[in-house]
Amino acid sequence: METKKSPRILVFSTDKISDPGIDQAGLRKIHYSPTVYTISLPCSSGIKPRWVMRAFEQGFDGVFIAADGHECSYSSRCPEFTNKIIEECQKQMTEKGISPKRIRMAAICSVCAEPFASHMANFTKILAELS
Amino acid sequence: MVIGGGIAGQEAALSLANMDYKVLLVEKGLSIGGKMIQLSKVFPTLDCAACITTPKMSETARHSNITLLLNSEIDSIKRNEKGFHLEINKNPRYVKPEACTGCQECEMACPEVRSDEYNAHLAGRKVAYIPFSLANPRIAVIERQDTSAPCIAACPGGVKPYGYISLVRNGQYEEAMHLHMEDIPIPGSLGRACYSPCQGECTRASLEATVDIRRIKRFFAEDFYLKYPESPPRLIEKNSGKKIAIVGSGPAGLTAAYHLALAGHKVKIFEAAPEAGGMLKLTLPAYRLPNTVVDRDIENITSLGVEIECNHPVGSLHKIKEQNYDAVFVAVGTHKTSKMNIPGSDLKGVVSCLDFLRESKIRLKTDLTGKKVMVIGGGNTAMDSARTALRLGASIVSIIYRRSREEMPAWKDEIHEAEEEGIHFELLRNPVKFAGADGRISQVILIKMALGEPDASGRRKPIELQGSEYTEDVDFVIEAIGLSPTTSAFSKELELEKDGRIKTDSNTLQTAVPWLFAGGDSVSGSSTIIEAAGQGKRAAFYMDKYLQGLELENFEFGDKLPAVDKKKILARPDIKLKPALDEKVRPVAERIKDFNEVEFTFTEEEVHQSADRCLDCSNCRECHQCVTACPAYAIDFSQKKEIVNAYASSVIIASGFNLFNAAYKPQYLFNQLPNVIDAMQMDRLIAPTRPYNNVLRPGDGKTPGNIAYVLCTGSRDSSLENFRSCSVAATNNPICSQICCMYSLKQAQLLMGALPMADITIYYMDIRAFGKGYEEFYQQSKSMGVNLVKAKVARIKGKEDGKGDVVLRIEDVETGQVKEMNHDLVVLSVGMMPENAVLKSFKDSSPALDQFNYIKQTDLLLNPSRTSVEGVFVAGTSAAPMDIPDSILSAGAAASEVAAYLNQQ
Amino acid sequence: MEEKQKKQRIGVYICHCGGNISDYVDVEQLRDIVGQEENVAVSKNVMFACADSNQKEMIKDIQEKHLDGIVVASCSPKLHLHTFRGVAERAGLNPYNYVQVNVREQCSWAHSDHPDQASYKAAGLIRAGIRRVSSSEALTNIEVKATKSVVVIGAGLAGMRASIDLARMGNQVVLVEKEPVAGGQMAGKGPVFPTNQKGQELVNTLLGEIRKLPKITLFTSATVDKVTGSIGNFKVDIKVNGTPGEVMSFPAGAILVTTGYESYIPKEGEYGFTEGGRVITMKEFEKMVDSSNSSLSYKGKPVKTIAYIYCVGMRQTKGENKYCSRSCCTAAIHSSIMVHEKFKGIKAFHLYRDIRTYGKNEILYEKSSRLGDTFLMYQEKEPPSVVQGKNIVNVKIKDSLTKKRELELDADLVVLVTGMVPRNDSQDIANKLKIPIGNDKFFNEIHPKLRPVETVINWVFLGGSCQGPKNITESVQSAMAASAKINAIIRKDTLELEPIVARIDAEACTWCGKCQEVCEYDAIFQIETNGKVVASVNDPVCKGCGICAPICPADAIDIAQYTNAEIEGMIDGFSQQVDLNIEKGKSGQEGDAGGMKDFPQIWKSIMENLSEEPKTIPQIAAGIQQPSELVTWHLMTMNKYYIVESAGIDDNDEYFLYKLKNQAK
Repeated sequence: METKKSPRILVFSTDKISDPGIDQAGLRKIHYSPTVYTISLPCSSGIKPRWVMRAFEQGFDGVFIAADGHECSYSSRCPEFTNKIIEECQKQMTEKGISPKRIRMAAICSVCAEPFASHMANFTKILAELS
Repeated sequence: MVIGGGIAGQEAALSLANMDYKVLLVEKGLSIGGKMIQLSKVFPTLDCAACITTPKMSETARHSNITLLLNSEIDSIKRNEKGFHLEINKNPRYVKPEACTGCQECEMACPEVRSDEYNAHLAGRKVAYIPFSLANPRIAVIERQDTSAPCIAACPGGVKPYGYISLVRNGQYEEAMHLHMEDIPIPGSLGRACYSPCQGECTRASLEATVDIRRIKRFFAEDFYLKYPESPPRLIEKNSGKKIAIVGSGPAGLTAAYHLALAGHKVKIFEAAPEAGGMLKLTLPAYRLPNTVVDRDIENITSLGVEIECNHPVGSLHKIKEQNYDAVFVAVGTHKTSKMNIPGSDLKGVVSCLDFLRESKIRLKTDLTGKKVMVIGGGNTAMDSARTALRLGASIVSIIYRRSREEMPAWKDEIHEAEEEGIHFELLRNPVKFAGADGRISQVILIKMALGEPDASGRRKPIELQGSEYTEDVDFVIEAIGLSPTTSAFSKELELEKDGRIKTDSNTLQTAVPWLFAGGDSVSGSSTIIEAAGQGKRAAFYMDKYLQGLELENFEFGDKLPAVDKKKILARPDIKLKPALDEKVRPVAERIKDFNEVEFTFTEEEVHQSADRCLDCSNCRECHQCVTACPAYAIDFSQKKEIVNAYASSVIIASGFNLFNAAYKPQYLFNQLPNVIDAMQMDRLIAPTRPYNNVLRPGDGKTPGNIAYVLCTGSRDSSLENFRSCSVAATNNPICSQICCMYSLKQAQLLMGALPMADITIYYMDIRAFGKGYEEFYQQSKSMGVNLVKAKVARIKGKEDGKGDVVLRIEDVETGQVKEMNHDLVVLSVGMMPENAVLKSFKDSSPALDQFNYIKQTDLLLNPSRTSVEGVFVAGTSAAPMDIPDSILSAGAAASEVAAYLNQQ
Repeated sequence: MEEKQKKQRIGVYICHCGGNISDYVDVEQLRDIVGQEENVAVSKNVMFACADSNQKEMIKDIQEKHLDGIVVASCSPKLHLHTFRGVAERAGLNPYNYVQVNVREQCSWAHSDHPDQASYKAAGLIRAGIRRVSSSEALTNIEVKATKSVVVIGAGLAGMRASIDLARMGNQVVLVEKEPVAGGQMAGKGPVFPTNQKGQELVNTLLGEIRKLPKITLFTSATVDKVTGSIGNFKVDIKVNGTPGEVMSFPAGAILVTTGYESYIPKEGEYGFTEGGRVITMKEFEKMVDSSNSSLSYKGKPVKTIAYIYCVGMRQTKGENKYCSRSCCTAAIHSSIMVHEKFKGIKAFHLYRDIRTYGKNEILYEKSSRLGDTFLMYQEKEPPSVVQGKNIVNVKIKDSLTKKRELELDADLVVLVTGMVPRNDSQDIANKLKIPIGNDKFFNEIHPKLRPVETVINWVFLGGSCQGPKNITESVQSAMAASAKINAIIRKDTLELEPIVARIDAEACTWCGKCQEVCEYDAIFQIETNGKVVASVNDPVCKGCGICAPICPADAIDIAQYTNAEIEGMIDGFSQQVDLNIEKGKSGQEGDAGGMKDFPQIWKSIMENLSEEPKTIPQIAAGIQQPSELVTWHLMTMNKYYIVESAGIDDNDEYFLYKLKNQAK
């Protein structure tokens, strides 16, 4: 893999569930692109669109939300809220001429090491095709 | 105290800890988490078991009011005035928990594979391993299983022969050398001259012949020394600032110096002789051990910065100590020889063995050309003397020994080689007088002996046969009848035994003077190289503790386990005879002419042939690849079983349940047909942490397309009593396990997601979907297409085409038909069985069991956690089958009851 | 939002983790680069950051060099976040001025295949950490003052039992019962399964204990009028009947709801059910059995044949109650056994769907079968038909146990085995306490496994069967579990909570109410400050999830530790250019077998067999002449230890192919 061409991805994860899942990938030496950076939050419903926009401004090629889905311990409506945030981001992205495909979400659980790695691989591919 | 770190135990512990009670959580496993952490997702919400339980595990592990005791079992619980006195057996993990960072390097390096309990035996894991990727605390463990190979147990120096044999077998010669150097730094000398107590215990010795352990060592030591003619530099990071003096540079002194230097101390050895090495150098004949080898061995020690000052006899230990030394180790050996003290002993031509050997080895050689030489004694020194005499030109050499050959203390190989070389053995006789003219010996008067009753040493006592005296001509006599310690100089400073041995604490080797330690032959009497070296290592261990100001009795030296029962090894089905290699020695006619070595080093091919004969008697190879791999120096093979004493005002039993072992239903052929698995195995296959790369059947890795579930395996079943060959687990289990219907439905739903093409059939009696959301889950499963058949499964057999499919003989309740159904994978939905082993530890009154062997809830309706013993409560599945939500509630109830109980007292 | 003072003297510690990090990440270069940053006062490499010696060194640095922020770049925060927070605290630094950067699990290990790039990523991660800590705020724990008293609503077994534990643990308890007598469903009830204790006796036992505990005040004929206040300090107004107009007010640290259930009353005509007919409910039947002595008769006629119809009103896939009522099967079978034991010559037919005598109660099922009871099974789609005659009831069933043969029987009495339904006043209680109701109309806990007795309303708890059907033991257990939780929070005068909560920027807030709408914990309320209506957060109630923050159109909300400055600082840190001098050759140094130098014999054979091309397990098994199950076991173990990996599936989608790791296809 060429360093320079590899798309940069910002991942928002959650402290209790998806971030431990991403840790598991490391623990089990399941590799993904080294241009993936993660910020862990309490809940994916707390992601502000401005943060997402800041990431694009700073040269990230894509933003991935590793959500808890129905396992969220804060709210049963978490997927719904997270979806709304993505919609809002996509609106702002479109306005700025950024493809809405550059933001994605999936539920990642605390043992989802392999799924996370394959999400990263897919997203990397999609982003590479976009540019 | 809470017994059991499963979900119920954690919940109870956390509830109490949050109320500010101090909780001792005792778990017999290596991590908390119980069975729940093995599960994939849990019904009815299909949330991930790990996601639910890992936050709870970290909360439990981190809580300041909770003390975790893992890998521990309760030995005894006795009532006392405070509540209960507990004795807990904490098993060694062989890893320092505070140092381990959970990086798994040890597991990666470990070459031994065992069955993985976490993955329900569907795959393997290493002997050094992290229990599972989500373990908490995430600390490695070395599974040594309480025994080791007999060769390892036998070595007085603590060397691990099996470990290095396995490394040599794999071509890891350098690693073998490093392993040896962990214990004893003189492998070169030992590879040639060790009497190999390991070989005496080798399991293969009871088949055709021992593995040639010593010569394997000789091979890798030689290989290493060829590669590194000079000792590679070794950095010691620690520096204690302490100085140690060692008196004597024999195996004991050298080994002690080595370990003390590694521990960061500054060491200086004082040697009386002109050269270092003690007996290795002074008396062992070069045809057995060339000086170059000894010198290279010594470099292993001096390269650590150890100084050796030769020609420096020590007269006063206190004077040495006064030269700014913090401690002194005395290992002066046994360089004093006993004399016959019979008339004529002082004649010229009568010499002591040590003088003779020393003369021959490092100074001028005595010329014995054409002489008739007589050696008195039957030990190794006698053999050495005799064979040396032969090499110095003697025409006839004979050994005079007062007992018979059986009693000879010399090493068998030595006797054998001496005999080969033409040494005469004159047994059961003893000299009574040396005679000669001009002060020079010319004759010996000998008396014949007979053997009487065994004496204190266990050997039969020789008795002189009166009147049997006779005379023999002789030119030269070497007395080799015993060696004793050269300690008389210290008699004012040290307490000595009558025979001159230094009195020490037999465990710590500390003398009555705290800074003075002693070891080797000067403490034990004349022994072997490896015994002396072993003492040096022991002394260094305790001296290091002493220098750190620690209490010596708090430390137990060594990392040994008892030997495995050889019968177990010999009972293995795959044992084949593999004859030992022929001896490789120089021909007699050639070797007696010079002092060159008698024995050859193995070639690489030979060493492999030889190592391949090893029977792999240990569980852990003790090859210490994990020790080398660990970046945190966290592995500690010297850990011992510990007894932890504790007090508890109250006890909660939350030791969980056992899954029914489906082998107890022989008609289902579990363990016999690889594609008949139990539900825990299926849960592992569906979990994201699964042992396989997909849901595959264990028989041949095929993606299953047609899966059957057999509900009520081992539950609602009173027929089990008829099958009695096994333990309690096979007693009948008439009750319902409460979870199997639901987990089977759960697995069915998950399988439909993972294998969209698969057909799933559940053979059931009643579907018991009774909890919140369960009925809805059941209906959903049906609508997803799970095929539910009310039927009894009478028998399971393998399909005859040998392709791994499984045939179920069922009795369909709704149609009344008996049918044979074909599936490619069958899951037995096994029930819960009570786990009540903990009751054995209650020494006075033990909680009563109910008729199903669960812990009896004496007031089921109003005080459901109460047992028959005051102050002892029960939570979770220790009391009855229940699912996760019920276990959690039951644990909360127990915590509430305990808190109320303690607050009332 | 006001720009906070940035940290000036930051300490950065980059851990080798004994090679676990430093083998892949050039920690020395990172230390030097980071050390040049303006606000970094200390930049160090450490062999093991978690080691005691390093912790001591950190404390020394913090104190001597007056550090105002700490970054530790080592393993996952899940392992040592609290360790280093402790270090900060011991050194006198606010623990929230410390940031853990995960350069092991999420960097060196995840990218051990690309060590050159791992260093770049680590640089980004560490710089993000520095930016985050430089904007971090010193936070203090939130203190909640709690009243050491509890109001328990509902004096059934669950409520009474919980009250006793709570009082014994030293709390004041006000127990409120709507009915004139305590005991709930057990009041006046006869024997219950499985112990055969009488319901009323259980009630009496608990009442006896309650009388001995002065800390419990029991009000009967009383209802909760109003609940005000919040977490730790509720005020519960209680209206006691018969004392007109009198409403008493009680302070409560927490509230426990144990209002129980009601029995399902069949609809007119449901299985022939009519008022006064020969089709009666389980509850009526139990009373009848308990009060009859020598013989069982109904309306003057001896009862010899009884038909029990199960799942009445329950498990209706299309109807109202979809759930299973859990204990009715056992209760019916238990009643049937009681009947046999008390009266001679009674024939019983059980018309069921699934018999759910789970757990140890299975032996009751077995016993009733032994006593001669007949079990017939019907399907939901084809329920039994019940026609009442003058003195008998005619029941027809298509019995699934005998190939759906239609059977007909004449019973003297039909017992409808009815289950538990939510109380009809539960909506009222829910409104007063703001607790949610689930699909089954019972009260809903937050999570059945994580927080089974808690509601989204902080410190309002659930116990017993107001949450869903439960038997006595289960009911009592859940109420006791709630007691334990309650005691943990109110036993001390003040409770400390983590300060990770939402904060409102009152200047920016224009009060639109959107944040209040989305907050499930009712943590946001309106206040007036400086003549302006704005949102405010009830700190102890807030869980810090942040759901409210993105919703705010004025961007007036942030979460402590996750402020715009901190998160955006991190994003900027990731993106900063780094000039590293990494040798190109330093890549992919991971050994094929992950450090393993020796292998079991069969692994060697498998490796040899796979050396040329990918193969399936049966192919390997044939190639090395070993049983395929043994090969599966070992191959999967080799897969786990990175020696082999899967190389796709065969054409039939049946068998995966496997190849040696790092080997071209």
